[in-house]
Amino acid sequence: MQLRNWKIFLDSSVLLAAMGSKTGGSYLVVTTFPCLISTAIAAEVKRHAPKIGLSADQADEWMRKRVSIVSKPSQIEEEKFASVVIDPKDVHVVAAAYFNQVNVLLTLDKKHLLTTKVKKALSPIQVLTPKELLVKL
Amino acid sequence: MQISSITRLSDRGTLTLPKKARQLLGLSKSQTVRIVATANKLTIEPVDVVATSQLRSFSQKQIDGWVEEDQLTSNEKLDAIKKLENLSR
Repeated sequence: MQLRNWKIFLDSSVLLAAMGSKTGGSYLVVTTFPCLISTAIAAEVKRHAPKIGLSADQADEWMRKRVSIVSKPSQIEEEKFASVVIDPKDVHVVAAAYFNQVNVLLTLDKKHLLTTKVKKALSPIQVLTPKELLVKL
Repeated sequence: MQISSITRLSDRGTLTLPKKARQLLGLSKSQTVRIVATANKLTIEPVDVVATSQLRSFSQKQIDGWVEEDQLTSNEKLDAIKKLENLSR
């Protein structure tokens, strides 16, 4: 499949970085490719928006203009990946990427998501940083 | 807590969820639910209820770190833009 047709799921870290700076890889990716997030990711981003100088409403508007928002995975779907993550609160990200059949999960969270265990569990879905994706183009 | 009740489908196949069940799950008008049907069971599950307790907390330091790590050098940015231009042709 051509890279331009890839379905990309974004973690909150990537969205916050994209909203926080226009000169980073995240902003370039989010404004170039069709990206997907879940309602849980949207809620996390809105909650942390003040930390990047935006209000929750501004963050909401930003996301609605640029990304597609899908439902959060069900509890049953999340349980499938419970053993893969270090922190149970990360499981919704992994499950959403898997059940939305994306090609790439983009994250900047090295400690919790860019791990061998998550990458192995999601394969063939690639777990990358925005910079890594840009290098692959 | 568990709520069990028997209800009847309308002619159009619509189903009214008992008030107590709606209250228990915090369901309100226009709530999105996921319906999973198996051979002899139907499960209705709210999908958009995101409790604050389920969300991750990120520190200012973590977010600042992500923004910083994500920065592209001038060369990296030029490279990426060239590649993206080629992709859009």
